[in-house]
Amino acid sequence: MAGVIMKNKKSQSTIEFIGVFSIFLILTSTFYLLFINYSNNIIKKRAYFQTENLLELISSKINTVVLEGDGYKTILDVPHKLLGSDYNITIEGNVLVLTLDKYGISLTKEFLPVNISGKLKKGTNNLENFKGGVVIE
Amino acid sequence: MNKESQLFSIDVGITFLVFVGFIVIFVNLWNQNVRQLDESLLKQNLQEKISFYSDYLVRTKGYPEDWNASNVLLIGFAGDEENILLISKIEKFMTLNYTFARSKMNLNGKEFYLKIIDVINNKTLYSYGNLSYQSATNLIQVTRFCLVNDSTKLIPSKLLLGVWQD
Repeated sequence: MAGVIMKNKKSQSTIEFIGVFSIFLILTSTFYLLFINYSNNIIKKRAYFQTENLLELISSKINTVVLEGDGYKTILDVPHKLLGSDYNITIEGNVLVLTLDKYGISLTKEFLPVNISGKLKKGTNNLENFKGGVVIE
Repeated sequence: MNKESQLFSIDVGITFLVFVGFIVIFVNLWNQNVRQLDESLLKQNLQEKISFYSDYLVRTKGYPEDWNASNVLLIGFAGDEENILLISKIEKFMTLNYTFARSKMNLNGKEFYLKIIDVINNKTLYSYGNLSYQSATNLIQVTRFCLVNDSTKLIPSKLLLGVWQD
């Protein structure tokens, strides 16, 4: 009789343990998934804003060079990475195109219509207004 | 018969409640932080935008120099000298459609207002845009001191540019 009671107790405890452990596991997993999802959203938002800000900075520098007129020079520092990731920046006509593949972001920004010679590179760029056009070195 | 296992169930129940309690508190605190981080990212972004644009407004003539509603690419109020604003350009700006001006200022999807205030008499000379900014959350404002050239005298003024996103 005592043996049966003992056995019942043990199996009840095991079932309770499995039940509670499963609930803990489900809660923890749900919480973890939510956490990952939120974190990714924040990182993506940060990447988006940083991309936008960089485009804003570059276009404003080019615009300033155009508006200031012949002979105006300025320095433009383009970061090597955005949020630790590689990115591509190109100039197509009077549009800047920035692609940040890791986050699936591709943004464009127009600047004033002007002839651009030279290529924008990461690091320090010298911008100069030469007879109305912008020279990038 | 099941007193001991009943005791175990109560223990587990209490532990479970404490665990859930901690998770709820943690999720709440964390959500609050996420919201604050979101807001600060947005504010930083808006700040960058309006500091660039307010610079154009007070320091440049705009593009083209004699811009009007049909050809404007960049709005600027200055004349030959930086920080001296021409009334003719400000008045041209006042006639622009709000949505059009917003897109030209690269503020699509955001709301903005612009005010030019005579700092000596504390009188608003011009106001433009969405003026219900008092109720706006995430409002970012920039103040630029300048002179307004009304062809007879130079009025010491400040230009206020406020941007927000609902």
